Amino acid sequence: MEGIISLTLLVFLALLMPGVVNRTRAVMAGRRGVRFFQHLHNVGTLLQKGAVYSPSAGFIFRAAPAVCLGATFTALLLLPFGTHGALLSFNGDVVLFAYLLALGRAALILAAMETGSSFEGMGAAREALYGALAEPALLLTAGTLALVTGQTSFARIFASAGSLPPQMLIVMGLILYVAIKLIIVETGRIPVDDPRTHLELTMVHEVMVLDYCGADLALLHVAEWLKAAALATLAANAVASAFAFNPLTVLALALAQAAAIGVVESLQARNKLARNATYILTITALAFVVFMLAYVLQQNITIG
Amino acid sequence: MFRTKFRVLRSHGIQYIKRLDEAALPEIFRGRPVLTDPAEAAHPGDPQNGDAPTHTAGGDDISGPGACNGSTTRPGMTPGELAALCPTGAITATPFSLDLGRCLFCGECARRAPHLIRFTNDYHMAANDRRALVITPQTTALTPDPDLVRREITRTFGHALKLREVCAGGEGSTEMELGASMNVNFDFGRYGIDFTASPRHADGLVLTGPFTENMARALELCYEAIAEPKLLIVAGADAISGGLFAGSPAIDRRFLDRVAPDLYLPGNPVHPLTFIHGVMALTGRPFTGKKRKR
Amino acid sequence: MENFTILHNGSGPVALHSIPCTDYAPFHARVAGRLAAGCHCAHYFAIPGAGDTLIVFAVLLDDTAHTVLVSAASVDPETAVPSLTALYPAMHPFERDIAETTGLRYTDMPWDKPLRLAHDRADRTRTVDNYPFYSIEGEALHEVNVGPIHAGIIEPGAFRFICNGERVLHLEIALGYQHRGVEKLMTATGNRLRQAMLAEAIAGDSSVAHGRAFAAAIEQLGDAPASNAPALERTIALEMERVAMHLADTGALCGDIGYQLGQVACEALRTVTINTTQRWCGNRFGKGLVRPAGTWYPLTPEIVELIRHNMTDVKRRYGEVSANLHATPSVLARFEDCGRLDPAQAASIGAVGMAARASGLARDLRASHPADAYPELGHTPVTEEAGDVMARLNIRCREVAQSIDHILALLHEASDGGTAPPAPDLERPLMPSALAVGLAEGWRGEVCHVALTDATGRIAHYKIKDPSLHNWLALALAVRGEGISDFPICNKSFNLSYCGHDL
Repeated sequence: MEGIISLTLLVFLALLMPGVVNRTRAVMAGRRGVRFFQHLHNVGTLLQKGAVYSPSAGFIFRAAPAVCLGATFTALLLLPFGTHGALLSFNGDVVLFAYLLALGRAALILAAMETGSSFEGMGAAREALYGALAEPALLLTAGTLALVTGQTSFARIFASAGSLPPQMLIVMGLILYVAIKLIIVETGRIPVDDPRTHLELTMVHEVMVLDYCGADLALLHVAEWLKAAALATLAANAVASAFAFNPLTVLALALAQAAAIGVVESLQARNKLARNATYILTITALAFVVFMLAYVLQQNITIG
Repeated sequence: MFRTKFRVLRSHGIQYIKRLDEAALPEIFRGRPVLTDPAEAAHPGDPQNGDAPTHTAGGDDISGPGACNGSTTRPGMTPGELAALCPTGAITATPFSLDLGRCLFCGECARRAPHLIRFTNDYHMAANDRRALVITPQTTALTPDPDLVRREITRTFGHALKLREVCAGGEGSTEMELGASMNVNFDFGRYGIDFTASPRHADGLVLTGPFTENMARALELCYEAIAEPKLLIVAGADAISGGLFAGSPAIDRRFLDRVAPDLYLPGNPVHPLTFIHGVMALTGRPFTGKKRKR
Repeated sequence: MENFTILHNGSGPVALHSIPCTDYAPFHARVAGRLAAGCHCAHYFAIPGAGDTLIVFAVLLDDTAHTVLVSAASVDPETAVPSLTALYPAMHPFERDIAETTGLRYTDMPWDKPLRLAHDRADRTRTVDNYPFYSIEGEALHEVNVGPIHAGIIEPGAFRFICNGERVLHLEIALGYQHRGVEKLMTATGNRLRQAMLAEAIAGDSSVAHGRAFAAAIEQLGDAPASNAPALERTIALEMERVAMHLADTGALCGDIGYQLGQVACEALRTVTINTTQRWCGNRFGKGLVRPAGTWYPLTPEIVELIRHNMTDVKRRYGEVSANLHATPSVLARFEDCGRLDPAQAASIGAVGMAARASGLARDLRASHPADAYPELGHTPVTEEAGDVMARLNIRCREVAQSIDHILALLHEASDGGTAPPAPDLERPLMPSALAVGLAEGWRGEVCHVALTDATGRIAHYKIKDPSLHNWLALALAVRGEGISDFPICNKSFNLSYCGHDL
């Protein structure tokens, strides 16, 4: 029962986050902006359209959207939302979470390479590189949480999070910062990538979905929203657990992250693609620093 | 850095036009023309009942001081002379009509025969029937005919529409105006309309330019790559009829023999408001309030 | 200077028989000599002559002497002739065009590729589908093909990259998709209004510049009194077009790097500028504003005040945007040291206009061959040394401020009164068997129209040169060594015209 509530809240958050980002950007641009739930209308229209497959597309291309959505959705089942527990929970599920997200990405990369288009090949190569560089950051973040709580399952990490000493708020705050950067990398937003760009030569994520249309594209859009919501909830849970651990706070923190992403997108230019690798490694380095900081703080507690 | 950002944001403020359905263009803008039947028109030299051309600024009468040759500025050309003057042959003498699909809105005909032709600043010029673009003295307004719109268009594209633009010989001004429809002032994104990068993601094609021979095959491939249901919009005089380039051997317009456009947008270039109003009318959306069920 | 007819910008038509016309060999030598002495080529074309011969014309510009040099040669199309491109790469688009349309062969042409695949080309077996791209064999490098249809709302053109991973080693640009046959249409009609509108339709974002070049050529052939030309209106219109397009380019460059603040601020400023043009003449791109021997849209006190108010506002706000771009590290990181065209390359390929000035080459017709109101403005070209994307952005930032200063100075003069310019004259007969050169410094660079009349006074040949004809090669060179993902901002920093090149 608890798990179902968590899942519902997660999906609800996933539907809200794109709207918050778009609204923030529109306000900062002085434009009227798209309607708040325009992304839902877009998906609705896509579901009514037919599909066009190029001759080089095989079964990987046709299966990838479903695999991507399935993997991301399964990852959601592992996350609690505030005090509500997760639907699935077992020791070590933090690692499964990271690799389910990676499975979704792998399916898309393979599908992009199957089309035989040089753009999609380039985009797939870039996505594979960034994914590989960002994966340690995600695992280190999960590792930090596991370290301070002594648990290796998300549900149990956050269940015992309420009993952490107040020094951990620093660590949780840093985790929030790393998580926002991770969302930017994983969902391909400025400064790593520009989701609104029309320039195929500069695309990372968008070029892999360039050949999809209709229901396939709809599934991929939904998978993107779910992934962003999952990472945001992870960070929101971590921070909320240090002071006020209830679903409302978690929701508010997650939406605040969306607004922060919107502000960053409005005021910053995207990186030169050659610099992206360094940028992502910096995030991983920061995640490592956070891990060491948590370790040191925890040692202090046991000794002192 | 933040101080400079703050200054830009402060000067920028809110930029979008709040009510696009109430937006009005200046008097001098040459929009939908109004024709007067030559048999009923006032004799040139009679007091004009509001038919004076609006674009000779400074109050210069076309026959007033500063005119060099009598033949250049003689008022009161006949329909036959107008037909010979028009750079694209948009004017027909009998029956007297002006084809907006060919018109380049240069305004020369209105200058030479103000008693017969007058350009208003009405930018509502979209049509979905090619014949409706031929303006006669009986035409009072121009709007797409809802009964001619294919059912799947209004059903599918009422809330979200992604368009792909293909330039097939266009000289750049209509393309820039289509891009301007997305900018912070016109912001057609608020209605769920957007231009997209890939034909696979698109719901329709917007074509500009007279369709050059060298682009003919690329155009076909792009149209085929779009999934059904899809729509076709032709924007600008060049795209609708070939414009100045109709009849050039470098043009190949056979694509339009095979695919019928869903919307025609006259203009040189097409004004963003013409484009936005045309697409909204085609997909059956109101500017305010809920979409009506059909 | 022997064997050249020497003109000044707008000095009047030249009778065809008075242009020195020799055999090709001495012509080749003297043109090469002038190019070596520092002139650059405004136009170079071939028309059918008596019998089966071709007459090749060269129109050169001498920036230091402020003159225009014209010369001609008679060529037998059956014999192969030595090429000027072998000595001066800057001549390549002209000789490729002559080879393509007339079938004339050059003995040592280093780059014999189709230019625009014109519908009246001599070799119909060459099409857009079999353009001979420079290709490599082997597995180490890969080729990326972009186009002809591009993802944004932009004109079509084919780009073939040869890359090592993400790094571009070579780019080849194949154009011709926008070819509409403008030059042939110009001569096929006697309707001067239709010709004026064809001129404006060469490149829609340079309507005023091309319109001005056309009007200048027609006015000289028609022997229109110079006082009839509305100098103030034309100069202000040309500068407003420059401002509008520089604003559009700055906004587009910001959009291409995902910098929303810069993009939206410039979009709004461009709307202000072109809406001002619309209030003046009814068209956001200034179409209809420039006509031969007069204008329908004189500067009235209301228009003067409107332009002054809006341009002052644009100058202030764009100054803030420019300061912000120079103060934002993420923007500077994208633009600096990217897409560099060094001065030697710019000079050897004959780059003109803004692209040349960004690499230190001060080519600007407003200073070297001033006409209209430019002599009294005393224009100094804006140059930069770095030749990268940042330099081209800087040129735009500085030229907007400079153009607005020019506009405000001219408005001051306009409001002092004076006679209103006359209405346009579209029926003036033209001098028979003559040649006239119409020049204008558009926002991209120098525009050159050459009109030749036949014995009855009809325009028999009309040859158009848009600055993009020279500058496309600059893009191909600038992108070498850059990451392929930086190509769009390099392309946008030049913002060349596909339709101006293809006619």
